[in-house]
Amino acid sequence: MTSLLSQVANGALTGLLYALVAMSFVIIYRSARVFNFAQGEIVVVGAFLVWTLMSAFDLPVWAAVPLALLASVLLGVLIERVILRSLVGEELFAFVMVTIGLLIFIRGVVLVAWGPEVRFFPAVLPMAAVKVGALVFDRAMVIGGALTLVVAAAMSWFFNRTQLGLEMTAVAEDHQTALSLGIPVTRSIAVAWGISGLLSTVAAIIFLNGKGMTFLASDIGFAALPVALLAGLESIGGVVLGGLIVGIALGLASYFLDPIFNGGVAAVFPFVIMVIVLLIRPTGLFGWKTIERI
Amino acid sequence: MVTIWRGVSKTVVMLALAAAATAATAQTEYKVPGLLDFSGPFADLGKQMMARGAVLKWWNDNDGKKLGVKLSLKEYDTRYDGTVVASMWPGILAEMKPIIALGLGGADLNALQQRLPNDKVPVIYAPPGYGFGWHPNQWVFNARATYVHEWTTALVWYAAQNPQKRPLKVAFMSSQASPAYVDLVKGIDKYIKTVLEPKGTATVVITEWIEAQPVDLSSQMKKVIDAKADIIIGTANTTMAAAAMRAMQLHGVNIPTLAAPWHTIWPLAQAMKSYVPWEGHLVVTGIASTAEKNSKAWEFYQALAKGYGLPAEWNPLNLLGISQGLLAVRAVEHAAKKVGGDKLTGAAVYEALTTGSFTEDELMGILPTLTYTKDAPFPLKGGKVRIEWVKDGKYQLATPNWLTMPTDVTKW
Repeated sequence: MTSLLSQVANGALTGLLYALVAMSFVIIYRSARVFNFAQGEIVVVGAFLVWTLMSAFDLPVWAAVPLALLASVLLGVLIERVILRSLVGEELFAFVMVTIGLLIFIRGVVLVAWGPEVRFFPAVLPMAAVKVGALVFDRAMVIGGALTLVVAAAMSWFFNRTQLGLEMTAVAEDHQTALSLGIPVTRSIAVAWGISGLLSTVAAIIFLNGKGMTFLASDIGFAALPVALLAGLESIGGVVLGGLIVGIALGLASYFLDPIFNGGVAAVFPFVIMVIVLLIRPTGLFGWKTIERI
Repeated sequence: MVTIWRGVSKTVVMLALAAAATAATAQTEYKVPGLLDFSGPFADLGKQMMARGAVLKWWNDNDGKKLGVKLSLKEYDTRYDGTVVASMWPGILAEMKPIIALGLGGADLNALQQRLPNDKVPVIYAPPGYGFGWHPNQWVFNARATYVHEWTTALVWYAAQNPQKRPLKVAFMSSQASPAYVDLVKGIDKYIKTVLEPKGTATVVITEWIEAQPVDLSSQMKKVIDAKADIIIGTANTTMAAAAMRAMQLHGVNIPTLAAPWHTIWPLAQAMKSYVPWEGHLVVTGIASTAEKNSKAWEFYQALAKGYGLPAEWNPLNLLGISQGLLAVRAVEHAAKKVGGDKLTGAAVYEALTTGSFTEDELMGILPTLTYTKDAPFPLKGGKVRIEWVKDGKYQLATPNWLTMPTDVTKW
């Protein structure tokens, strides 16, 4: 029983981490209508920025983390300004190809700049375990789970209650309409990329806290994919629920199904759920339904 | 007129002598393709494996010169992707007309194994072999037996150290993301169940399949702890190993892991700048141990470091490259002695590999004596390993002498 509870609870925490990464997908998609395939690579860049500042430059955590977060925001803005701005108004396919190209480009830059060796990601968050009865949790994951809920609430408030957030939501509806209303579309998209960069580094800190890392940590981008698609690509709150569904399903599949099928089920189970949900609701659980009037 | 003729004939004689001398020292050049991963999952390995190039250069300057053979290595980035290898290989064949090639691992093995007998190019691999590659009459050659041979040797040794005199409880924790990871679990599982369990030496208590890049393993580790495992096998990449270590720390336990030197202790201790978290953990190696520095292998490495640009300190990864390079040059050397340095072909090198032994002395103490047969692409008999572990915070040899591998490992 303890084992089952442990699988479910740790699965939920893993799901919340995926939700944090998926939130970056959603924020960009909401404003720019771009599905960023390079999200995992941006997480890795954030991780290496923290590692460089703390391990190579020996900066204390209170200086290194804010600097890394700032650099991540700038990276997001830079990607938007240099690569994506010129594509505004282009076909969706062009954006897809560009973000795939961005994935390959960033991976190359990471390999050249930091190399393929294993690095030890510094312990930014406390390392001691959290024990609840017989259950044991990674403190970074617990903090990360709580942070994901706070960030999701803050982002929901931002997009629904602030001028800039509402402008970004209008941009997400339709770029041409937003422009005709005098909303600076490019600024909105740049802000989205900046926020996405920031969240990616936060996710990297939670994910890699006190662990070994390589450039392959970018796999988390694809692990978070079913969460974003399950929730619907526009819903900030939806990714939290989507994350919990995927994480808990993963834990349950690992507990009940893997022993029967000799492993392998847990890894694909989130994708199975995603496909089933998308077959019933093509826009995901909380995605916007577009009604076209003729 | 006579003087002119004398002058001319002197010049001709001198030119002929010079030409003869050049011919004597001229080396027939053979191009050797090297398949490496610079941007895929084993990119960290790729950089270090380039040490094999230093061995080829060293050999060219010494034995190669005497035999009139020069091997020129050209490395290709395969991203450890079988489809990349499969598409790249015909071009490599056409361009280089190789008599031997240097591979990396499972991805290129899968892509090339079927076609190599037709291509007539033997390919040498540094890491241990896999069960799925265990077929007769292969043109791939591993410089050591399979992971299963090596790791079961260590398991038997470790079980013998067990003061409780009860069967060693083995937990598998590995990923199904790679056929290689699954292969080693399958093979060791079979060996334990068919050989060790009946003898009361070891038993499998749990098998946990995890992601290759796991986020958190605390739940899986809880199951391993509940199963009262004495040793964990299968953390065959650094991320899995680091996540398993972190999960053990969370639960406040330290269950030794058993892996290859490049999977766990060495790369992670480099990153963590400490061996202390790895106290009691083991690695097993079928090549020279980096923990031993008063050996022929160390002296050879120093020669490579001084003359061929390798770093002063060796490590398990560049040793892998060196072992591969050594087997390749010795295979070419054996073939050249049989057919002549200017008449080398892939078939001649293959013949040299499958008939005859490569002694530990020839292999500079980096590898034990290797004898291949046509039954398998790796030496099935006479293979030896050493075990390294962390004791008192230091990375050291647990077994100063080579341990002979079991001969009762059957196909799985």
